[in-house]
Amino acid sequence: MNRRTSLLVRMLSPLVLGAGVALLGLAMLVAPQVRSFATGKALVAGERTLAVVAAKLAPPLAERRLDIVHEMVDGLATDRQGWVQLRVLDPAGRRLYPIEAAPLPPASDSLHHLAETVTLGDQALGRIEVALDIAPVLATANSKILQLCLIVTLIIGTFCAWMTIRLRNIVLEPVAGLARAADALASDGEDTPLPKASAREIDTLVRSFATMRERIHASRESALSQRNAELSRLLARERALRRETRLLEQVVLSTSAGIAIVECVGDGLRIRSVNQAMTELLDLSADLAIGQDMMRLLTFSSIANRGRLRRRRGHCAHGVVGEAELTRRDGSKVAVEASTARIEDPSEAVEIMGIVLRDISRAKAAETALRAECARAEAANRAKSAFVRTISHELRTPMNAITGIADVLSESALDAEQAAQVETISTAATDLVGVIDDILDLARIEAGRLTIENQPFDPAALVGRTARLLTPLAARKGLTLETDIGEGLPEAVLGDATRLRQCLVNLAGNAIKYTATGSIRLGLRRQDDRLHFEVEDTGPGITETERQRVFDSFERLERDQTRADGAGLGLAITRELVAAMEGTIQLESMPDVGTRLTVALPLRPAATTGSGSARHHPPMRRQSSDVAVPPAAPHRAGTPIQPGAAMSETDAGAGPGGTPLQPGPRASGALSASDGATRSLPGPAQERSRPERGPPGGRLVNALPEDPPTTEPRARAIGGHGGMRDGTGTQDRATTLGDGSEPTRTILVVDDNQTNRMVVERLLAEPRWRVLLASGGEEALAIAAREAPDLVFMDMVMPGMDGLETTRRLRRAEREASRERVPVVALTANAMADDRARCLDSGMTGFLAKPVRKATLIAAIEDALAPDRLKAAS
Amino acid sequence: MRADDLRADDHAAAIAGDRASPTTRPGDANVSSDCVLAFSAEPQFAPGEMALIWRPIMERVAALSNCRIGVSHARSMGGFTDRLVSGAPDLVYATPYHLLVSHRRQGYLPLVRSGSTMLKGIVVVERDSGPRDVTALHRRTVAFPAPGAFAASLLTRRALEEEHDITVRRDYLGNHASVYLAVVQGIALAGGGDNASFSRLPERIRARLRVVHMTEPYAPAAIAIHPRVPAEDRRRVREALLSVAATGPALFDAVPMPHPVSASLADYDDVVALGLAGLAHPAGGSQPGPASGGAR
Repeated sequence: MNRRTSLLVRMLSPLVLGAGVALLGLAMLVAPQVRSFATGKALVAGERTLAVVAAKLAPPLAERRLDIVHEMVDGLATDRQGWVQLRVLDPAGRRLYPIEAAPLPPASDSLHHLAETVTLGDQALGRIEVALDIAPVLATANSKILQLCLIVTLIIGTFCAWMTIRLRNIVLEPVAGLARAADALASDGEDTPLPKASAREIDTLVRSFATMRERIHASRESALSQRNAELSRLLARERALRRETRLLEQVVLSTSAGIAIVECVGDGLRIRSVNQAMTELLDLSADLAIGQDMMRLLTFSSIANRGRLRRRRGHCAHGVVGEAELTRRDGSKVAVEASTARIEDPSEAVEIMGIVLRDISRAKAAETALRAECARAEAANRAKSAFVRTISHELRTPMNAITGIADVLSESALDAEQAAQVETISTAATDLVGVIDDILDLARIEAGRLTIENQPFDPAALVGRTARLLTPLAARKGLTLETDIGEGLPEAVLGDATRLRQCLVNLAGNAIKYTATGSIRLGLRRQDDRLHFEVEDTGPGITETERQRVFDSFERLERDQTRADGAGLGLAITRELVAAMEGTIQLESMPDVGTRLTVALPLRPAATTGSGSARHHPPMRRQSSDVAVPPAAPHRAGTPIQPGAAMSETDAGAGPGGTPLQPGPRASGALSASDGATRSLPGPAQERSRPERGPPGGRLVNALPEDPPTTEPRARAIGGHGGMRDGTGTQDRATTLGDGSEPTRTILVVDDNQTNRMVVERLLAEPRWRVLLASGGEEALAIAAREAPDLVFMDMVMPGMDGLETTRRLRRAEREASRERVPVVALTANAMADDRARCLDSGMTGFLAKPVRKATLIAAIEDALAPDRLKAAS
Repeated sequence: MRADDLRADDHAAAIAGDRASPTTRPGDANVSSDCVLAFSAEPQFAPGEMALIWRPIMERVAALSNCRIGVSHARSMGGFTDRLVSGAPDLVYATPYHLLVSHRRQGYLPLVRSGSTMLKGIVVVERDSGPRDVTALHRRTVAFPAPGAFAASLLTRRALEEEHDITVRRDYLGNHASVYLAVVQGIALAGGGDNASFSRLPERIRARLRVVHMTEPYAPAAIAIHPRVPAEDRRRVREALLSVAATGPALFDAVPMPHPVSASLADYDDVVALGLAGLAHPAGGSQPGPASGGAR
């Protein structure tokens, strides 16, 4: 009943509310207007009547017939509704009517004052004043409004009643029937008959309910069957879980790791249960183990782990894994690895967790042994490095003499056979230096001391320079060397240009070496996010068997054992370098057709100052490098080039072969070449680490030994102008410049090895230089103080005062005497990178590694004595 | 008749016509078709009241006399005097002075008069604020109905002048009722009237008036008839009047003419003896004249 009433109220309340609003609006808006209209109408009627009365009173007033005035007014006052008071005054304001003085009652909403002047012609005869009571008029108006409201109310009430009846018949009764049916359905009772509906919507609802009831019956049956099936499935799963639980229990009981369930009480971990392995670890029976405090038994090697276990009082730590020592009952210690797992069980009053202890005694013993083995290996490695360093020094020292003497001899007057023999000596020496550099490279790689630079460079320019470097070598064998630069290449990438060029020179050098006829192609293209550097030849190819060994150290193809040069380290070094640059190298070959080696490096674009990062090459596909190589870079005919040999350019410094490339001062990265004649072919690892597009500054310092001699002018004979001195004396045998075209420069050569002093002296035997020789540091300081040389070549390792100390003292003396700093260039067989750094730190301004060639020596002199360099040095 | 009197009569008739027919027809079939009389009374009161007084009397007189009597009152004394002088009405109600004047001009003959009341002139003032003595009226304005009003004007003015040696400024207001109202309303300091009209005033008016002077009594007003009316008709009318008075004395009390009796010219000798201008005793040949000095 309540719901029915509620629905009725909800449906009728808007109507009633609207009716109320309408009535209120009627009362508040219309009623005042009706009353105002009625008031105005009454006032107008009263004024009109008053005007008529005034006209009738005019004659008696003109005759001063008060009796007639009274008689007329008495009649009017009684006849006219609403005139509660009337007064007639003469023009002087004296009252003519009524007899008794009676002022007009005060005006109000229902009582209005009307007045009319009585005139006859133009003569004012008097004035009539009336108090008009319009209360009856207002009452009539209010009555009409009330009647209107009642009519509206009656209409709305009738409509509401009609709506109520209609709602009951059409909606409420059927809905009540549906509710009874729904209640029966909800209580699983018998189905009640559904009501008949007259409205289409209700009929649809009844039909929908009937359909729903049928479906509910059907779904109940279906749900019942599904519930039974689910119950069966759950039972089966529970059985399976129990079985798995038993298995897990067996695993726990039988595992070799000790497992304990502990309660985290206070700062302690009280053991609640243990497995068999734990009792064995503790050397306690389960009865004795239970109740023990695990914190007393475990001693963590890491204080942090023990702290983590105790971090929160009364709380279990989760996931703590660490090594610890377990104290057994007999006091012995067992190394264990402990891990914890907090067990979430709301039914437990205290927090619990599992502790797993694994006996790692054997592993610890093995680790100890391994550490000892590593220490021994490291000692051996250090001994090996020292050995390599010593061998490098000891080999370079005599090689300096050999190459130097060969250079001197090659400039002397020799017949053809002698010249060929000297050339053989020079070539052999150069090859030997290359082998030494490769060995040092490999040693450095194996020692893990290889450093890869990450500087921006232009990959296309790198390929071009490599091609130009090797073109003379290919030309000597009648081969064509081509470049193939792809589209869409970045203008600059990040990487180690020196090591990459070393790889390309190694690969291309090998291709030239093993190719008899045809061409060599250097390609560069971009594929996805990698740069592919390709070296392709038309050589004999490599068999499948040879591919397995081609990258191994000291491996060479058998068929070339007697023909090719080198120690077989080039490809092995290349493989290591590519791997260090996070790249891959791929070999494709077909016997008697050719070989293609592809170095794929990850592309790391570098920010450029140009307008775009992508390079757009002109349509110069397979352009012969013969055209690209500048004529000012000749290569001496007949000079063998080792695989991986690189040609230095004007803006490229030469590096010492095999010297670990450490990030050094950027200003020390370039070798100065005074003219085209100074261009040389450095060893494969002699590339200096430098930015490919870096500024050309810092040309003074060149630390690395020079490579095979270049096409140096050979017309000049040695000994013509240079002075000589003996190896130990300090006597000056310098000569002075004869032609006077340029000032004679004084060069002090400090070396404890007499042969080396002699070689340098002979190499510099030209009129423009005055060479002074010193065999030790103290002697050098004395000569420097006395002679004020323009340049000093300083050996590094000398008995007594070595080159580093000599240089430091020389600098100190210069400061004390306020002299200008003389350029000091190291000339040493210590070709390691740290050696160069030590030299520069001592105050030296340049670095040359032995063996040094004449061209390199002259270039270093000219660079050091250049006016700007002198200024910089000072 | 003057033009303003005609307008005044029409106006009065219009108001009175709402309450009474201007012409009263006899209900008897024996009424002579020749006996048609026009009645007019001296307008001492307002027209409506005049109609209320005279209509029932004339209806009954007509019925008893077999004459058709038309009632038409002048609105003012002046109009009534003009009618009377011209002999327009056949039957009139007039004060002694007008009776004598009409007799002298037209030969009107008195039929009946009050047998119990004499006519006196009075001077009234406002009860509370009016002067206590008529001497205070000297050279003051006093209201009168009309110059020819016998008791109200002629007698009172004559008494003031001769007995008290008082001269007043006269202000004529048309009839007695207006005079009384003017005094009550304070329009006039004092007014002249007569005891008959004063007694008939409503109590609410009379109570606010005070009589400060009263004249000697004289013969009252009478109903007179024109001599052109045949003698037989005159007789029937007189009898009818007396008959009505006998059966309905209250009707004549309202006139006021209590206890009517037959009248004759001789009854008015005392008036003639006053020697008023324009009057003459028919029997003695004296001609009573109208009062002089009635400036308006």
